[in-house]
Amino acid sequence: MRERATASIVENLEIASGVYRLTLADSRGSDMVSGIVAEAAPGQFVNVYLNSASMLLPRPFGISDVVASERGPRLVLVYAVVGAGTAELSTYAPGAAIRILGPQGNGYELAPLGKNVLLIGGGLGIPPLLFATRRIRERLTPGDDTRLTALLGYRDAPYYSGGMGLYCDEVFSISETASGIGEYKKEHEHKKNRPFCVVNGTVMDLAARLVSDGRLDLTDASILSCGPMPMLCAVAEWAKSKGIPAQVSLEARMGCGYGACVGCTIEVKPAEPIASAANTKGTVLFVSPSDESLTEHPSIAQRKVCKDGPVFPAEAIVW
Amino acid sequence: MDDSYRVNICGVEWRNPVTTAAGTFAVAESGKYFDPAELGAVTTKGVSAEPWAGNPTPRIAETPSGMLNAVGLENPGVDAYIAGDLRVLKDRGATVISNVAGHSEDEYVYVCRRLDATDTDMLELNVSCPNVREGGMAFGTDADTLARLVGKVRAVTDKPLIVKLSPNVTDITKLAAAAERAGADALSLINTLLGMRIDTRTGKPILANITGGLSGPAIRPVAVRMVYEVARSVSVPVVGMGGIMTGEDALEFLLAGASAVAVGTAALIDPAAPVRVARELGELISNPQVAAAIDAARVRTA
Repeated sequence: MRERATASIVENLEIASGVYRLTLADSRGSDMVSGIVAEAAPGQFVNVYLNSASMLLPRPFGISDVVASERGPRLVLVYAVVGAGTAELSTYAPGAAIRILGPQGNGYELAPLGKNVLLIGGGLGIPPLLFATRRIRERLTPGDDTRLTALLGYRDAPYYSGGMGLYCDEVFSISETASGIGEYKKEHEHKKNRPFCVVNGTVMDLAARLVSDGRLDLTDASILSCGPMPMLCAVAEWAKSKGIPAQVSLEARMGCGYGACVGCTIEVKPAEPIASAANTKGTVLFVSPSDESLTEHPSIAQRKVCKDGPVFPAEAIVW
Repeated sequence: MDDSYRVNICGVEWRNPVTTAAGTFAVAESGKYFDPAELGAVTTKGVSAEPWAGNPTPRIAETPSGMLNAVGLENPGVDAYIAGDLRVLKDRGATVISNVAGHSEDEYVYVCRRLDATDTDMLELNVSCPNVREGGMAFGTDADTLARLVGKVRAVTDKPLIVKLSPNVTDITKLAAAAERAGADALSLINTLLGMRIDTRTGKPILANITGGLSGPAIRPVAVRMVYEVARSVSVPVVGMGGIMTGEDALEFLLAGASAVAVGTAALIDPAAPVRVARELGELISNPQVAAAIDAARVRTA
């Protein structure tokens, strides 16, 4: 039984225009961050509560990384300033305390993933994929020829693509704007293996181009994806057309972020058994998929993104 | 937990004067953060005869010191509720208030008849949900319509019957009187206030349902005022709610004449809020002067 508790801000840094990396450590008397670092699975998220009494609801942020540093466990979250709440969060200085709750939801199923793992991310969906990619890489045994390939889409200048490069065999990036790519190329000019990056398109344009160029091996492949809903929808469609299993981490406007308010439901296909990530009961469950209060109802095939997701098999979702 | 401030609400013993507000408690999810048996009672999410899918998303919007919701009473239907959540809660030793929703008089009557045959401790009639097109608030804003519905439900159940009132009326005491006359054993108030938010960037409402119910600390002064008015105008117990975040907030309702309180939105922000509020309220009531003030408020309103 883990209650909402405080954490201490170690760093709250703007890493791209309007995009911040928030690093948290245990605050005095609270081991919330330690607990999250020990338990978290890639794809899970953390509820972050603002200190303002007028903004009550948690902001759910995907876990970008957990680190067992020399100075203690660190939790890394990446967020964008999109409204008053995230604007306020961006003003919090290192040393300040905030309340958090987590880890929330179910993460990606990391095995078995096949020989070609595609990490397809868009914008703020990319940092959580870094956590997944690192875990997959760490679990590979020596001699394992599994290839990790990242396809990353940005609206403007790329971020976290260098980090993905640490764990991936190849990283391909695309930006919707030419200005973004200019900055990116400048930043990477000095590097020997400059990451591949193209401009004017979406991550699906990138995928199509790589396939037609013969640069993407899709044999025995699987997809882990995180990003905005229109992108995930396109990923699901593309994966289906190629016969590749895909896990998608959905974004949703949440209320409570733990399953009580029923604010963030998503329609799922009732005909197919849904064996989602950490919840492998193989049936469509309504409302309370715990052992104690199974309330199955086939006529309403809806699931809570916060509680039953946010990671779902792409084919289970009614897009 | 301290049992020194038990209350008796229409013949049902609560170990403390705190319950959950309907729609903010889920057995599996909330049960991870507190033991439902530690509360005076738990009020479950509105349940209808057949499963309801609820409204399209987005269903939630944040507002200053509050939130709008337009969930639309998504629920698995009364049969699934009885076999699932109700059984689990009773097995865990909780005192249960089953909140009942309906699209029609017949549906309310059917659900209450089904629940009358169970071991639910109390029933709460939701005649005040602003987010369903038929039923809900439509039954709770006209005194004659409300009286007819309460009378029909009263005829099919001996369970203690709470009627949950809507604040979206000109004079809530008229609805309170109608419900009491028709056989309500207690009244709970307030449900959410009808509200709306528009995204200024798109010009469109944030909620897919366009409007939603406003809850949270923003509505607390309205709730306290209405509890004060109703507690003075009826002789049945009142369960007060609306933006209770702390034990002190709960005390405000008891001083307004409520016999018990419900914690709702606070539980969506801090999952353990209901038991925390009960603990904080217990500490406040342990002060004899505070206890005397609550007793005086009850005498004044009785």
